[in-house]
Formats: sequence, C-alpha cells, structure tokens
Amino acid sequence: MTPKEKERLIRRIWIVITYVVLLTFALVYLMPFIRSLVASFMTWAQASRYPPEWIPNPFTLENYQKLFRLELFPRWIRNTALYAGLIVAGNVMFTSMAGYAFARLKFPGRDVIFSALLSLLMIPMFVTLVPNYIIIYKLGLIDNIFGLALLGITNVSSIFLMRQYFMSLSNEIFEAARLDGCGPIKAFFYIALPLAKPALGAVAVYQFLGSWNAFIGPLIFLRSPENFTLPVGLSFAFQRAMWTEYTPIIAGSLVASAPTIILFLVLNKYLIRGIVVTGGKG
Amino acid sequence: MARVLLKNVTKKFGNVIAVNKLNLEIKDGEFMVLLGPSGCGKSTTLRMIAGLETPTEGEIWIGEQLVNEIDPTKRNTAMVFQSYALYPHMTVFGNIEFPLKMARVPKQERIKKVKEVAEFLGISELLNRKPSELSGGQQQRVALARALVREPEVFLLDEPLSNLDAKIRTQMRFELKKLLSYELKITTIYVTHDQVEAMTMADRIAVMNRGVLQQVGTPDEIFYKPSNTFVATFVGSPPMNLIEGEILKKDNKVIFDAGEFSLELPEDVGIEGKAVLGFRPQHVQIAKEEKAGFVRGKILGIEKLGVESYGHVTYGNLEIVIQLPEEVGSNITEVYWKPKEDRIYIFDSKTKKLVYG
Amino acid sequence: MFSSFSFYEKARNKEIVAGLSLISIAVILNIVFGYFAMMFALYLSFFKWDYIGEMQFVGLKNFEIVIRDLIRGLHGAPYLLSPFYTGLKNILIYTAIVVPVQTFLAIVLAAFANQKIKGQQFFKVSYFLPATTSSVIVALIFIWLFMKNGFINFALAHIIPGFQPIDWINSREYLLLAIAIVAIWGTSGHFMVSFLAAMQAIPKEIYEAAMLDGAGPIRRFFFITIPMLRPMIVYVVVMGLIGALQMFDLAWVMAGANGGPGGAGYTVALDIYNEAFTRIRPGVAAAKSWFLFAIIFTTTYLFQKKYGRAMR
Repeated sequence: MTPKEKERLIRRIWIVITYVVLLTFALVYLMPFIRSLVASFMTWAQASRYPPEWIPNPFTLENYQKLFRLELFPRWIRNTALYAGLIVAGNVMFTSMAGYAFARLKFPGRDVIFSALLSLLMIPMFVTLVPNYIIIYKLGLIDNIFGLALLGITNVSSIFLMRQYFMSLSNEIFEAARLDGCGPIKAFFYIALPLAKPALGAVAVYQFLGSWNAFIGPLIFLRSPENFTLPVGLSFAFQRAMWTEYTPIIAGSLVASAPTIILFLVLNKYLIRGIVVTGGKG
Repeated sequence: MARVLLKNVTKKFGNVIAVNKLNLEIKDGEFMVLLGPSGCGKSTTLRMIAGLETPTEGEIWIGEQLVNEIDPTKRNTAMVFQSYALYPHMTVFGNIEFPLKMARVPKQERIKKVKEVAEFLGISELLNRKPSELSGGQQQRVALARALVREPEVFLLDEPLSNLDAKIRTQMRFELKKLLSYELKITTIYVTHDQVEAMTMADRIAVMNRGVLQQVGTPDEIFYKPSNTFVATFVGSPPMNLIEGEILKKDNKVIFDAGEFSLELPEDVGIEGKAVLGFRPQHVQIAKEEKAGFVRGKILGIEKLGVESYGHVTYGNLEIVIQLPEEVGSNITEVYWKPKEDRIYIFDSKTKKLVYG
Repeated sequence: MFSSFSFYEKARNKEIVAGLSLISIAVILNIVFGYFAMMFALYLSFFKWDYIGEMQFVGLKNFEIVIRDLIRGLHGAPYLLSPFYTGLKNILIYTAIVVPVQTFLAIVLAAFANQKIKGQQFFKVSYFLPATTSSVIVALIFIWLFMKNGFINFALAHIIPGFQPIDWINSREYLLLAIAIVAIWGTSGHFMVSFLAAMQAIPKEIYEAAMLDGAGPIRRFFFITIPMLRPMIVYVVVMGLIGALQMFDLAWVMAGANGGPGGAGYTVALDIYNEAFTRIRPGVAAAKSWFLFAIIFTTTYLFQKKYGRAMR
C-alpha cells in the first residue's frame, strides 16, 4: 500500500467512525421522543411490554381521548398559552422600550441602572422566591396567571439582548431621524422598533420557550389545579395517579411539548444561531 | 437664501478640543468645502451647524438668525450622511416623505412634493423600492431627495461620496456640483478629506487641522498660496517638498543651504536664517547634464502614473519628489534639478507660516 | 451661556424624560422582584414567621438550624433529621457527575461534527431538541423509560453483557444517577451546539499554519482547538454549575418533593421549597437560600478565578 492509499484509507475509516458516533448520539437524543410518539398510540399493556414493541397494535387514540376527557387538561393548555402569551407580549413591549433607552438615550444614572439590572442575573431564583411569593400574596395575586406573569414580563436577559441590538444599529440613522424631526419617542416607534424585528423575534421565541416550559414559578404561584400550566398539571396528574396507566401521561407530554418542538423545527437555523450568540436559554 | 456664519465656535469633548475658536463665513449660495484629515474637527463643525452637536462656546448664525438655541429641524438645513442613513425599513417614497410627515405636512401635499423631488432627481421609478434594492449612486440620490424635500436653505454633506466606488465618485462629483451650485444655487457645506473633491467642487475651501482653521480660500489660493506647511502638504499630489535649511546671503546672492546641497534663491527673498523651503514636484526644472544652479541627485525610484512620472531623489534622510519629463526613461539613475524660481515657497521654521511665495 | 429654554436643554430634558419613562416599568419590576426581594430575603432570614402571625426576631437562629442540620448529617444522622445535609450531599455528587460529563460529551460531539460532513444541521437539530423541551416533560418520559421493564434497561441489557435490570426510580443507589443521566441528556446537546459554533469561529488559517508546522489532527485538537475554546469551556462549566446546583424540576418529578427512597433524590432546592411551603418556615427557607447562593457564588467564582472569565 502506498502512503497515499494508506492516508486515504485512514481518512475513510475516520469518516465512518464520525458518522457512527454522531448517528448513535442522534439516536440517543431522539429516541425518547420517538418511543413516546409510538407508545402514545399503544395500550399501556403493550407500551409496558418487555422487550419493547414498536408497532402500536391495536392502534389506539384512547390515551389522547383520556387526556381530553379530563376537564383540567384543556384548561392547562389554555393557561399555559395565556401565561406564555403574557410573558411574550410583556417582554416584547417593555424590554424593547428599556433596551432602546439604555442603548440610545442619554439620561442620568443610565449605566449604573443598567449594570444594576445585569447583576440580578447572578442571583439564583431561590433567593428571591420566598419574598416574591409573599409580595404576590400581599398583592392578592396568588393563584392568578397574571400575578405569575408579573414576575417575568421584564426579563433582564431580554433587556440585555434588546440593548445589544439597538447599540448595533447605525448612529447616522438615528441622527438623520433627529434632523427629520423625530424626538426620542418618535424615533423609537418610527425607526428603532421597525428595525428591531429580528431581535424582537428572538426575544419572543426565547420567552415563549421559557414560559411554556416553566415549572417552578407556576408550581409555587398557582395553587388550584384548574389554574395550572401544562408542566405543573402533568406532574400533578402523575403524582396524584390520575390514570392507572402511564400512556396518557406520555400522550400528555407529547401534546405539551408539541408547540415548542414544532417551533424549534421550523426556526431551527435561526434559533440555534441565536441561542449560541446570546449564550444559553437561561 | 442664507449665509452661514460661525463666530468663535469651540467644541470640547471632555478635555479634547475638537474645534477651536473657529471663525468662518459661508456666503449665500456658496459651495464651501471643509477639508482636512480625519479628526480635524470638520465633521464636528458640520454637525454643530446641523444641530447634532452643541457648541461649547461661540455663535452659529444661519441667515439672520442665531441658531444656537434653535431646534435642528427648524434651522432650514438638511444633511446628507456618509452612509446616507436611509431608513432601511421604508420604501424610497417613505424615506423622502418622512421629514414632511414628521413636520405634519398634509398627506396630499406630501405626495406632491415627494413626486416633484423624485422627478427632479430622476428617481421617480424607484419610489416603491427599498433602499437595499438600490445601487450606491441611487441611494445617494434618495438621500439627496430626502434632504431636498425639506426645501432647506443650507445643504450639509458629510463625506457623501466616500462610500461609492471610484468611477461613480467622479461622475457624482460633477452631478452634485451642478445640482447644488448651478441648478439650486443653494448654500452648501461639504465635508471631505479628499483634496481632489475639494479642488474640483469648491467655490472656497476651508482647510482644518486639529480643530484649528488653517486657511480659507478659493482652490487656486489654497493651491498656489498655501498659508502654512500643513496646507501646502495636504493639498496637492504628490505633496509639496519641504526642505529645512538656512538662507544665507553671499556675494549679493541668496543661497538656501540644505546641508547636502544648496540652491540659489531669487534675489527678492529678504529673509535670512533658518527656514523651510517648499516647492511642488511639478514645479521643477530638469536637466540631464550638469548645469549651473542645478542640483545633482541620485534617483532612488521612479513612480510612473501614466503620462506623469515622479522621481524620488534622496540626500541622506531627505527625500525629494520631482516630476520627470515624459521622455525620461525608467532606467536613469541621475538627474539635475532646480525648482522654478517663481514657484518656490518659504515658510518660517518655527511657525511654519508662509513668509515668501 | 444658554438660557434655560435653549433647544439643547429642551432636547436634553426631553431625552431624560423619555429615557426614564421607557425604562420605568422594567426597572420598577426588577427592583421590586429583584433587589427588594433580595433585601426582604435577608430580613426574613432573621425572623421566625408563618406568613400569617407576627414576625418574631430570632437573630441567627435560622442559620443555626441549617448548621446544626449539617453537623447532624456529618455525624451520620438519617435523612429526615438532616434534610439540608442530604440535599447538599446529593447535589454536590450530582454536580460532580453532570458538569464534567456534559461538558466533555459536548466537546467531543462538537469535534466530531466539526468536519466536512453531510447532515450537520440534522445532527444539530436532533442534539438540540431536548433543550427545547420542558424538563418536567422530559422527566415524565424518562420515568417511563427508566421503569424496571422499560426501554433503558432493555437497551443496556443489549450493550452490557450480563446486565441485570435496575428499578432506577425506586432505588436508593440509582435514583440520583438516573436524574443525572436525564440532565446530561437534556443539556449536553445544547452545549455541543455552542461548542460547535465556537469551533467554527476559529480562523482556518491557524489550523493551516499548524498543519504546515506538522501537527496532526489529534495534536491540532489539543493544542489549538481546546485552548481556543477555553472561554467557551469556562462559560459552559459555569452555566452548568449554576444549573446543576439549583436542580429542582427533575428531582421534583422523578424523586418527588420528599426526595424519593431514603431521600436519594433530595436536593437543596427541594429543601428550600419544603421549608417555605411544607414546613412553613420562610425564615429558614431564606437562610437556606443564602447558603445556596454562597455555594453557587463561590464555586463559579473560584472556577472563573482559576480558569479565566466566562465568555459572554
């Protein structure tokens, strides 16, 4: 074998190893979803069989029907949607305003206030959890989606992201607007906001993912089952053993994660890039 | 119409003095170019006139009005930015309409005015496009339209051609000049660092350096009567040769002693002692053989720029650039040269101001 | 030299008013739910209270309770007598497993994916998918997969010869490991994508120069990729530490609020929750949350001090 052939062979073996490793892990990451999807159409008897079976037989929609027969489940979907909607709307509105002001307006204390907000990112939520529970309680907003949303509509990461975006816009555009007769507020509505669509989209998507999946906040601030969100509701259903079988839980899990999964699959290119840039989902 | 008057205008950013006691009058209808290297204060001056910056001291007058305390939108000025600063999310129509909309001009009138301006600048068929769909030259015209639609009395342009490629730039230079000076006859203040732009477009040029006005004058005055060594070297290409030395009087002759060589100066040079001699590379006589009054020089290299070619002649650390006659080949190694007597300049060795020439 | 009505003053005042009003809502909410809550937490940690009656000043008693708990735990007291100790011990073990494994796995997978291969986006998407799913949902699915006759035992039996099925969720020995596996599954892919982006940002010229200097692929990985990735590694570890030390969701679902068999899945976060909402001792909960804060702060601080600041 000539050195060249040897090199080519090594290269080929390496590519094979690469694909084997990557595909194996793709399988590891995807398998729970695939298994759940298949099992959600099985009877519990079949889904719990050992060794595992792959073709639903009989094919049944019973798990999904059971899920929706529980009156709470549609309520949980609605609550989660309401909560996510409030969080997304609040963040889009308030953090774009704040981000714009921090990035483009001059006012006393601006940088101090901004760093004060940023340092809040270092504080673990467990420190402020109990006091916030008491505050919300005193406001009479416990067990109320609106009270819960109040805690998350001005996320500091969103403010940071919006500020960075507005800082990246060209100065000259804002100066031109100034000369064309835009004051700071008009410039926000006519220039900054229309130009910030990508950043607003990113904030909306991250906040949607975060609020749709949120657990500890809803767990603590929502008390009665009819006000639960999906993650809290499903863990409640599981712990109270609402169904004797496990398959409705699996079906419920799939229903609950469908919006985020679909959103991710649709926006994957954009999202992966964005999350890498902003550094994580937290 | 309006003249612009700057009285003792100073701008400080913290401890940095960006513009220092600037006095300048731009006459009604004049095309004034503010020329200087980056950081010389020319853009800051323009931005103060526009109202984007407030002068630390001094007065700015536009027409008969002191505008220091007048809002930028009410100064009857319009500005074109280096990047054009078109609003990317609006159509061309929306961009041109925007200042009118902000001024609450009624819709019908806005449409009429935008169409007029677009017609005038020949961009009518672009009105529905977005800025990103336009070429650099078209964007430039839209930026002009947006400025014109406000019917300003003073037009401010900040390096408006530097984002265009060389070919369009030359073309736009003449178009801009034609439009602003001959068709609109509008007072224009134009900031650039490009001396060719300044020379070709300006009625008068104001040369600035480090926040200080160096000289104001017509392009000819700036070129032929530079008031100091900065102006002398900043305008003209290749820059004027400056040689430090001493002027001596010997046997009724005026001699400039540069150490490595000496030159005979015209008799009417009445200065003695240390001085800086200046002459442009183009204003040199050349001889191939030794000749009285000519200086022998070794040619280090020749730059051929088509018709013109420039030879670099060195004396120790001193390098002098001289234009060589067209017929001179690239293989000559020696030349005899002498600055044309009526085209030499002498600058004070300390103040660097012109004292002769 | 300007009158107070100059345009500049007016414009500046307008800007100040606009700026302050635009930030007002965000700042007020964050001050209330961030800074005020933090001071309240500090205040609370010196009081005994049941949310309803009078607040009773107890000095450092709440902290003493935590320290006594720790001491009891160190002397081998059972889980119910030393819940904080148990939670702390578990969470440290859990962190020691999860953070290194997920970081290592993420780098290795990123290195494999960072080649001229087809389907890179497919791998990114499938690795990233767990991160977009709620941890509660993930935990619920994994409970089923971890059942004694579940898929994971089945898969392991095929990979490891002689493997005996484990009842992961109901086992004192394996519950924490099961939770750690779910956590690693849930986050490593997400970090892998971060590493991949960081690797792709390394200029090609550096690799080409190293290649000309005679460095093979393995040496290029260790002498160029790893050092160039350092800020990202620090970032991933710090994020991992912050997440792991506060772990709550997975334990809540997989182990239950009481931490499962023998408290095997009990965590500090669960303990804070229980103090505040089950045992109704908000003061003790606040004291424990300060301990948690101190632990997170010191570990991330020490790590960053040793290995450089995390990239942001």
